[in-house]
Amino acid sequence: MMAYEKEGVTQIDVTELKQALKDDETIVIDIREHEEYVEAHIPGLPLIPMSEIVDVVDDFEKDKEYVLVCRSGRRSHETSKFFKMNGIEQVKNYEGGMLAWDEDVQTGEENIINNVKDLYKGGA
Amino acid sequence: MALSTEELSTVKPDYTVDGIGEVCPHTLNIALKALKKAKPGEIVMEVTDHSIATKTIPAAVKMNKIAEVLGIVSENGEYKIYLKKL
Repeated sequence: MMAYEKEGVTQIDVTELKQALKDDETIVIDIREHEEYVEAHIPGLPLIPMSEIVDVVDDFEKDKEYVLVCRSGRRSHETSKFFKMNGIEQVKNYEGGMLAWDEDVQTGEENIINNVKDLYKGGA
Repeated sequence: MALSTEELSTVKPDYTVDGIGEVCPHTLNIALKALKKAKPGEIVMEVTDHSIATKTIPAAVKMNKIAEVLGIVSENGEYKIYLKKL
């Protein structure tokens, strides 16, 4: 499946997600809830739950590129629309979600982001 | 305006959505679907046993500005999420 647009949000598949993970310019964020992340996540991904993003969306840098990840692609699609509503235009939705992820996963509290600014300190 | 558990127990939902046994994305899909049908001021209540839905549904309706979260009643591992259509 090639990237396509749905409700104004570019949808990408697992192949394109893997490319984004190699691209230093793109910030890939896991937006699931804490308990889901700790159970299994893509190694290295920062976690900012959707339930927190709704209150801190203004802290995100608007000129950066983002890809959002959740369990099935549904929550990340809603959150991507929310990003756009708030002036964060360069956001893509990983449509497959963790259900379509086919490589290794990490468990535990590897990269929990408590302050959005920490995303931009490198290594996030 | 969040209501207390006592106040919520007196609320008669206009739409009741059964999310028992469902997980994301379905718990979110059925809530949003019911809210699309509801008229402003009407109340949608989803009952679910998926605790994560108690965070994602409120976040989604707040993001989309489609409903106000009146509150969540938790009882015996089930959660009743009360939403008022805006």
